[in-house]
Amino acid sequence: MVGRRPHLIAAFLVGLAALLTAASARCQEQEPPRRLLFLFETAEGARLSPSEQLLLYESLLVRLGRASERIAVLEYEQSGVPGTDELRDTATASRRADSWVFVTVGGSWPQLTVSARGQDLVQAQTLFELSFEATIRRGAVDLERHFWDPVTDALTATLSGSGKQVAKTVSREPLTIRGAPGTRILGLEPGPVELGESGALEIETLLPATFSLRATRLGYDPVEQDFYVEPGAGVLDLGQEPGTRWAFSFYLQMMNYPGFDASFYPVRDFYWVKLGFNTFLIGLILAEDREESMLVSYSLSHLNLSTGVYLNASDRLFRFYAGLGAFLRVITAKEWAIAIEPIAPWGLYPILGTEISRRQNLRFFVEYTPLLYFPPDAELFWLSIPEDSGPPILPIPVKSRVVFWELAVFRFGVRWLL
Amino acid sequence: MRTTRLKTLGAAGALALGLAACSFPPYDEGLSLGMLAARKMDPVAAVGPLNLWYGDFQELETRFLLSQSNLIAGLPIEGYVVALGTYNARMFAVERDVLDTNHWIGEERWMSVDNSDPNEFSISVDVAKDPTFGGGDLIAFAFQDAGKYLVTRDLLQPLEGEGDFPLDFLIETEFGVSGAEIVGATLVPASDTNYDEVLVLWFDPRAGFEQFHEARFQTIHPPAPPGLALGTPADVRGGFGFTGLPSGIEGGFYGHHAASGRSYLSVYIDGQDTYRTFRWDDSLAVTELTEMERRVDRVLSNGMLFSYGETMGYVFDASGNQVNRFPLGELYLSCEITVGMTPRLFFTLPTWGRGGGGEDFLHILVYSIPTSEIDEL
Repeated sequence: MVGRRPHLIAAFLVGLAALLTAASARCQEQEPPRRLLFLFETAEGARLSPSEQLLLYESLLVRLGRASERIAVLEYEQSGVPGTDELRDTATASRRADSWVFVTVGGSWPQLTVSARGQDLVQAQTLFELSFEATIRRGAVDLERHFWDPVTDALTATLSGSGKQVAKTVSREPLTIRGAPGTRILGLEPGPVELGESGALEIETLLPATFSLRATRLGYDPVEQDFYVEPGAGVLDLGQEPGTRWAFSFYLQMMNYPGFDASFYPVRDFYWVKLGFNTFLIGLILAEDREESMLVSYSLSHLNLSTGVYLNASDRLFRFYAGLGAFLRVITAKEWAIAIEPIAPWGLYPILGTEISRRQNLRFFVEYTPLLYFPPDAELFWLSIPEDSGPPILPIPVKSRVVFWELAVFRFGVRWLL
Repeated sequence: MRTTRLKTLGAAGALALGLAACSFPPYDEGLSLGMLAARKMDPVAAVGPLNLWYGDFQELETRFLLSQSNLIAGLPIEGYVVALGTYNARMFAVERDVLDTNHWIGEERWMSVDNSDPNEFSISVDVAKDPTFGGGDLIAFAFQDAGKYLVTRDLLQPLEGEGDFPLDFLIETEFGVSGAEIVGATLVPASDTNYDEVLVLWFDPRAGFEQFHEARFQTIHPPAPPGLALGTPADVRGGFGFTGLPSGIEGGFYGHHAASGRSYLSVYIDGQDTYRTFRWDDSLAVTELTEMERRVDRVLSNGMLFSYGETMGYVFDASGNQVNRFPLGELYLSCEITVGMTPRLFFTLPTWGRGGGGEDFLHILVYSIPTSEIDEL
């Protein structure tokens, strides 16, 4: 009995170790690999030719890629490294990476100075910070074998402790791109490709890979992002969201008079129909005289119905649109004197505008909406134009009638897209 | 980069401020509301453009009174521009230049008044027929409250208010009552005569507020005696009183319906922003029209009562029940004339327009409607 006890203890310990190992492995399998953004620049004053800089960059990229099987390295692929840690964090997050390493190389070939710093966004802490000087004696061989060791060792020691393994081998595999039928994709092939009616596209590609894609489809918000696809993933879902169906706008016409529109998009985020009003019942003007009131009021309102289309994608900083509207002039005077204005009861207006915002759902806009009046009696319309500060109006003879074009009508406002 | 952005923002701000400084819609409420009613009437004529100094008259209540004699005779439209301000009244005669068919305006006449309280608006203006000049006009300024003068066209030259033709002097001359309080005076158009009538409502303060008198005068042409536009009183009725008024009546809006002999007096009730209207006839029994809170501005030949609102015109029956309301704007009920056998109402619509060289012009549109259709507008 006594002689068997050590065996039992050993068996228990082995079993416990196996359980812990299995649990640990299970835990590691559930976590994705770390995604590291690689930022590289040459120091100011460095005397390195473009080919030497490229050699340094690519050799470090290769070494970082090999440094750990649990770290996927992403290239920045833009000129100019972000200047502050905050900007580097933002650039990292926008690429769905969770850490970055920033390497600066100075000096002149073959005597180089290197400084490097790593940052973990998950832990919100600096992984390492180091600098060293080294001489390259055997050219590319040194770069391949030893030169970058301080950087890769520091990275391995601080970042690669957990997470799933990055695929060790590159393999050509089938990949299905899924999205809305008809979606046009840039970045997958040298030219644009389009998803068929099935909403799927089969390709053969080398994995793992990061795809920088822009996917656009009428009625859907554009998707522009980097997709990291591992071997065996099989499917890349573009994750497109339906575009805007409703929107509400508030604006000031000529910075004076308020207006409101409700928009419905029969074709989401592209073709709109708008119903609203703007009123002259209250207006704010810049008084020329200090004693003059800044508030003005006319018992006139416009009921507006318009339609139009956007001319470019919704994720652009300036999103242009064009349309055509009709307005009905309504009098709402004291004593409930409510009627269609008889002198120029209706009119038309073309719309040229642009929304200005980086946000998808809240946008400022400026519209040029010159009004065209079709008065039954041109002389009466002339008489109804204010003596002072009347709007610039151009009469245009059309057959036996006169169309009046109010030239300078602008709207400035904000639009909420739902 | 930063400088460029600042410049862009500055330019955008300047543009926005520039836009905010100068934009009024092409809209004239008085004209538009007036046209809502006018388009249901018969167009009669367009008078103008008359070159006036817009700035002087912009804030005034500008009206155009038609020459009745011209209308009756079928002659080109002529009349009088009357601009009522807070502290003065101005008038121009507008006549037709036969040679070039344009209208021209006479020399400006003016008199001081006190219209500072719009609820006790103190002046009304009418044009009456002149029986002796066969087509001329008499101008009657009937002050409802403060002045109580009657002024003729011939008296316009020295028009300075105080020295003109006070109606209390007329009462003293005709009835021997000095210091009579004139409550109101009104012109009553007569359709089948070559003269019109002026009725004056007055009382003798020494006899008390309960004893009112109504005197009827025919219009005659001055000078006979100089400055006097009214003949001897054709009729007098009196000795009636109004009951229930909060205080003694000093003035009101007074009207008369010749066919029925009914008279109306609307009195502003201070603090309630409303009017009380009383009616009486030959029986001298006074009835208050309790349904009516607006004043009687004109008694029409069909017995209807017309009242101006801020934007609407109101029509009441003889008992003060509202029978119609319609957009009025700047439309002004200038006169009622029988054309053929049909009494017709003539409205004028004044509006300002821009002329060449920055000058401003007054345009007057004239419309007409049978009196019987006023409740269908």
